[in-house]
Amino acid sequence: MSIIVNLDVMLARRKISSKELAEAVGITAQNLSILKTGKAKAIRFSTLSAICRTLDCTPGDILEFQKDDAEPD
Amino acid sequence: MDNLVRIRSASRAFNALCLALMGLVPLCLAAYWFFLNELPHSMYAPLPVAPSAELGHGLRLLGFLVTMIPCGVLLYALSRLRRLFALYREGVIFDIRNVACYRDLGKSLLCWAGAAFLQTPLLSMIITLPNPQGTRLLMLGIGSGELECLFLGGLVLLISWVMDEGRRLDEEQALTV
Repeated sequence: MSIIVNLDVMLARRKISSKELAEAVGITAQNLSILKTGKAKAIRFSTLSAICRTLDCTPGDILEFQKDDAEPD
Repeated sequence: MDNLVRIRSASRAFNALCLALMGLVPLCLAAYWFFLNELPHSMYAPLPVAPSAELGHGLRLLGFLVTMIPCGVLLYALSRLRRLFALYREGVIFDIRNVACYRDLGKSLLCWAGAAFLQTPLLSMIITLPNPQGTRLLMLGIGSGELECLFLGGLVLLISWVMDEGRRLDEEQALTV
């Protein structure tokens, strides 16, 4: 997967626990774990905007594109 | 009644039925070959040719072993069905394990057609072996049963591919946060 989720980094920067974020965003701890471990296949705009609102950041702070070696230019 | 509850309860019943069939089918087959000489002629219908003389123990054992070839395939298919119903009973519907069960079931139906085709010449040889020379038979043939198995096997394989697509969609849905 070429999209990296940097949610752990943002949680550490804002000193917010995963449980607090899950409660604030309104998703389950299991879904937050899916997101953090990079297993998620997609993220809803509503979830992304709730995370950004809670962590006071932009989507670019959470999601990062990393080019695969095998991918063509 | 909720659909999932219905699936679970029906699967429980089908699972038990498959288990009963797994025990009954080989037992009935063994009884059929054991009492073959005492059976009325009308019960020779499943055989490719009716025996003209009484068959000895050895030939009846051979006959049983030959009919156990398609029966073995059937037992395997029943075991895969049991696994599928066990998954449904647990509420697992769109999983890679379900897809594997459907795929194995389709393949075993195709194998069953092949085994049934193989059974006819072998059984005809065994049954007509006590006959005098020149009256022994080697029969070959494809019946509607074999064709039905081929059709059903292909159909179940197709369903397994559809199920795999369903599984992918379900996984994507489950991993959308």
